[in-house]
Amino acid sequence: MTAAILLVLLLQFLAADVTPAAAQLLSPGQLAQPHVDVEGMSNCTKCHVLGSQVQPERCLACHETLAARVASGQGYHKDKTTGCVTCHTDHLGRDYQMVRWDRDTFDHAEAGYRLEGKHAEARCDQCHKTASYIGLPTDCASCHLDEHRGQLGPTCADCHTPAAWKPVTFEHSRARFALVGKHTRVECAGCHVTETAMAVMDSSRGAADSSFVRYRDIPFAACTDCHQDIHRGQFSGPPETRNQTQNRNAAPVTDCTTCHVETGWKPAAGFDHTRARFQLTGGHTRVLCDACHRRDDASVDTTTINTTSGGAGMQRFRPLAFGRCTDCHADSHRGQFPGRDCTDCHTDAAWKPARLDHDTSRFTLQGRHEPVPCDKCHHQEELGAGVVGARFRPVPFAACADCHADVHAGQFGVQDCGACHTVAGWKAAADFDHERSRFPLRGRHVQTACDKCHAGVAEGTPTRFRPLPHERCDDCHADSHDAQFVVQGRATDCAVCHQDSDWKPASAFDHDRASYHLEGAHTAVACAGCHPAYTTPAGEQRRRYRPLSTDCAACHR
Amino acid sequence: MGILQNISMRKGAALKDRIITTLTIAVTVTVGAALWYRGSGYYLLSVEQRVDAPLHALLAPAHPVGHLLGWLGLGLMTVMLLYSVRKRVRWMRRLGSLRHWLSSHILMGLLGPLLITFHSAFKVSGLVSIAYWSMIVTMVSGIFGRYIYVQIPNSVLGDGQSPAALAEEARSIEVELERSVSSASDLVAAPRPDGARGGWQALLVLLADDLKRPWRRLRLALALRRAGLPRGEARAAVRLVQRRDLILRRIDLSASLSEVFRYWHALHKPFVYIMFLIAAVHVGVALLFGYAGL
Repeated sequence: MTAAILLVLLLQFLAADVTPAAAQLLSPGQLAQPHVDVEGMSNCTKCHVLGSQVQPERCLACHETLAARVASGQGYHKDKTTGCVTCHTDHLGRDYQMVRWDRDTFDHAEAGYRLEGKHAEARCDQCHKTASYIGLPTDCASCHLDEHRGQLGPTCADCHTPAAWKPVTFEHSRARFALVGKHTRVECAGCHVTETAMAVMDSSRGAADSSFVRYRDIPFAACTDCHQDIHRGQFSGPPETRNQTQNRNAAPVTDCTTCHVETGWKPAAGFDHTRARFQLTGGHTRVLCDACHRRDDASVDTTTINTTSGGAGMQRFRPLAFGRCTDCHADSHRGQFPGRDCTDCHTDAAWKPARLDHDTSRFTLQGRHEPVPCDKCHHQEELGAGVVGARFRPVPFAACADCHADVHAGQFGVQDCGACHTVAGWKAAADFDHERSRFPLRGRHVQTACDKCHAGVAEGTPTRFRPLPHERCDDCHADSHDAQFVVQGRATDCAVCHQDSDWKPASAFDHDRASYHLEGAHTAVACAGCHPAYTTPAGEQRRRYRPLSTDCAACHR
Repeated sequence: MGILQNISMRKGAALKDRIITTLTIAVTVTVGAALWYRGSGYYLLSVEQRVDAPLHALLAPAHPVGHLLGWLGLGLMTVMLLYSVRKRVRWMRRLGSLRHWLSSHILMGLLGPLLITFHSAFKVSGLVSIAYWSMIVTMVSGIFGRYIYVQIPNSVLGDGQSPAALAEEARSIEVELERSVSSASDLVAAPRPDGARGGWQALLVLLADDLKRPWRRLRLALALRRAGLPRGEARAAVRLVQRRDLILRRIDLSASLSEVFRYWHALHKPFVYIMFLIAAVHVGVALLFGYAGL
């Protein structure tokens, strides 16, 4: 009876239009939140098939997006055969997450898109913005802002990899402008500048980004499309060759590659000065370019010039006067040669030596004048305006003393040096004749060196020529006899015994004129036998002539 | 037949009951321990974690092992009902002793809920939870009913004697005690009956007496030893006293406990009905949605 009553009550309860809460009486548990709309006893068969549990067809009937992807063989579920409830169990409570997986071990490749590089580090919700993870497009732009604003098309992988946005794998050789030389080392931003465009909402970063880098439609036909013309139009070509649309920085110019190459701005390897109107020869070939092509001023802001020219100011190439040497060179002579061209004396091989023919001057160089360095006569002096240079005109040359100092210190008065000397040489005094002097040379005097008689009074003083005493031998010669022949304070004339021909033998001496006459065996005795040697107090060896004893014993002992 | 022989015979019957009880408990505990041993790693997980556990594919209620346990539990509890049929259908009285039917009823009444509990994976909700907890109440009620039932003389699990026969046995024990423990007769004196009690009061007395019994036995043994009784005689005297007191308690509480048992029976059966009724719905829904197979 009790059982019958309970059964009736239960059936009546089940047959009633029950609320979702009451429906839980038969449900094994609450449905998860995504299925809350099918909670209730009348909805059981929306998922459950009578007699066949839960079939995927019922699930996919509602999950149409997934059904379409499964049908087309796409996505993670494309090859799943175990039934939806194997992974997506329900009736486990409102808060139960039916879509669950281990984010650390989930193989995203099974979803049809392998995560590599930075993608593997990204959080799921950085790409999957909604609760559903189904069916994200795999093109980059679906997640990423197109940093290039459509310049480079949708295939980011042509240059970028998932490993990192930079560096790119882009080969610039594929571009119309191949990088060569210095261009290979230029930072990308050197040519590809950041520009500002209309703000674009970056959904991945949630911020407006209005800047992008220009990669396309960059003019490059002319160097000045990127580089500033640091020559400031000096090499501008004719107007018909100019293309204003390609020139953003400066006036159109002759192609820079006429002189410069991409391996480096300097040296201007492509430039050949022979093509210029001024041919470089001689020393000009060794001159630095800057020596002629100087910088005009510092008005050009070189910080904006993409070159390695360095320095301030514009280097002048055209027009550059070169008709006269003084267009470049300063007049070192400060107008000493008015009306004369530098090339009259100088060549472009070198400034020195000048090729001047001194014979064309009023002073012909002869003899020892020829090897004399120019500056011995053309002294350095101030030529004017504080400039010091060699004096060429006027240079006095009428008298030797105009150039030469009087080494005789006026001994010959104003007499012309040519009276004794010639340009062949100072010494030798080829034109001097001692016979014309008051002391003609005889005997050994002829052989005697000049300075034996003509010596300086003291060291450093000029050689003495005039006045020079010469009346007595002892004016020049010293007394070799230790004053033995000085009689009453006056020396005996040397010529009494000696002659000019030689000092020895004293060929003019006659022993008979002595107080002791030689006779007999005495005539055969050597002089030293009777005239002994002695040493003066000054330590000099002398021979005794007088006084000498005539006693026999004085010699014979 | 001497009183000791009589006690010895009763001891054999009690031992048999104890073995059956022990086996029943052992089987239940073993099955429960085995299932827990294999499945605890799964059962201890939260509902959300279970879905990802390897054992989910086996032990979840709708999955093979869990499903099998449900069918086995339901089957045991259904077969268990044959005991009630056996009691009521005349021709079945020939099929074994009612005592054995009751023992089987008890065994299946323990195993069935145990298997259903593992089938539920320790998580029940909704309507079926009413069935589950009705089942648990029925099982606990059954354990309690058995406890009361054995106290009632002449019951299937009782002494199998009438109250008069029990009184006679008690008197015989008294005589034996006067003979064997004359020197300490005051220690083994019979308790005086408390007189008539209500059913619930009798139940409390029963519970209190059973709780005190081990201590009372120990105190008596010690007292007899102090009184100078040898160990063997003291032990025999304690057994006689225990038996006599049990007989006297059963005689004393017989009427009251019989009344309690009737109330119990009235309570036990509705839960059985509720349980089977909702279980039938649960199974019906499961079958309807295709969860019949393993």
